[in-house]
Amino acid sequence: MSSALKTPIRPEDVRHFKVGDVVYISGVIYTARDTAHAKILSDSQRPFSLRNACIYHSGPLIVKDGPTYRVIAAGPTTSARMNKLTPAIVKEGATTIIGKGGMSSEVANSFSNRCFYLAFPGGCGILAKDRIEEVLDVYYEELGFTEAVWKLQVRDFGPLLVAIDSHGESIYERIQTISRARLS
Amino acid sequence: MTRTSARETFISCVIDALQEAETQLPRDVKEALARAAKAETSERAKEQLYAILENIKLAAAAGLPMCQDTGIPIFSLEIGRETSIDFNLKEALATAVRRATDLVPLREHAVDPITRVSSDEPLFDALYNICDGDELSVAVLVKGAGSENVSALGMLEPTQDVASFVLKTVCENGGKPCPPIIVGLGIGSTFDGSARLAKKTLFRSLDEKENAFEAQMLEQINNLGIGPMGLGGRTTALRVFVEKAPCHTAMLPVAVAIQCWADRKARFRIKL
Repeated sequence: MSSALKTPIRPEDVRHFKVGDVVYISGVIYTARDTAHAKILSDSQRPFSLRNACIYHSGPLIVKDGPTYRVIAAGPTTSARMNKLTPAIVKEGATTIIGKGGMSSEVANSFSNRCFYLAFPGGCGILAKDRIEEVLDVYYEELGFTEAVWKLQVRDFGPLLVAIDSHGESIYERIQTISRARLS
Repeated sequence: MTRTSARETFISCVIDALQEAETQLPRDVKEALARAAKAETSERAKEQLYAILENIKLAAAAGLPMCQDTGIPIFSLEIGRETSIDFNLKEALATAVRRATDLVPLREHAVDPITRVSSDEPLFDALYNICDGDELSVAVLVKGAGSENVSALGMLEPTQDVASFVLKTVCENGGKPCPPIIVGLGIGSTFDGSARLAKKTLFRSLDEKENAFEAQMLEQINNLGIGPMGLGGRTTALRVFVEKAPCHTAMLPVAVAIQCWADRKARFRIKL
């Protein structure tokens, strides 16, 4: 199944998706990686709401052209580095996580019918950039352009594969069970 | 007319090589990815590979880096013993990386390892080798963090099995390094020597004929079924390279250098 979704994406919007479905997202997404996750969670004056938010694991390559920001490449980063802090992000209301390489079973279990994980093809910085219409804002710029949180306007962002669904079903776990069995 | 200094010529060749590596995937890697896309039987694996191939095409056409992780440039310099180099090679490499950061552009992701604050020092590594001849031959390999993070070094006991260590490393890291990967194995030598051997293999061409051990390792890795991006499939690795060196009878160092599908490489040679 292939579907178009518009942000904000609510918990009831993610529930009927199953692993293997393909999604394209239009609207607003926020990049966040290692340091940004810690910062977002500890910030009592968080500049944006995580409620029904779409978090994109990415450290985009962006240059400043005078007053405007230009996105050069913006593919996903390895999501597993965010395993520890993601359940807290989900608890705060994020419903959509985009990344690559998969996440832990603890993360999958934290989804409890209100969040899902979407895989963007890794390393595809230009495919992703071509679906970004505008840089709307940047938060925590002091972390550097790679680690900062970028608020991006996207159109038909994808292809995004539902790799961990809201019920905790994970393609990665399925594959790892097979490969571990073949190893022994 | 002023004569361009050897240092400036060298710097501009390094910048060109970085530009080429970041924006155009070498033919051997592109062909291996295209073959993998044809050979996959699962639609999901095919789709991941077709997205990668499309991305490669778009990046080359736009002259932009194919991946936002513009990586760590690893240089391998073969310095002919008859060359005369009147400048500081390491300083010239640093200058080239700094200029390429603005020109290509490269992502500024160097940080102090302890404070994690952005570092102004250009990020790169270089291997210097003296060889015969009167040329300076330079190869650059761009290494992303996703694959570098899952590379491993095992100081095995001499009776332990090398293949098991390699397979376990690949298996446990699943989709993290952006498969299909290229695996470089350095077997023997010392703790750091094995890592250097492994890294050096990654400069080799995928066209090179594989030996029996390399072919067997590749088959075993692909039998794991991890597939493109860890989503299942036949192609977990495109190639395994092995380099070995003698080691102490009490030791068995094994280094596993993993490179992502974006196996970005370029080379040049100049007479100095």
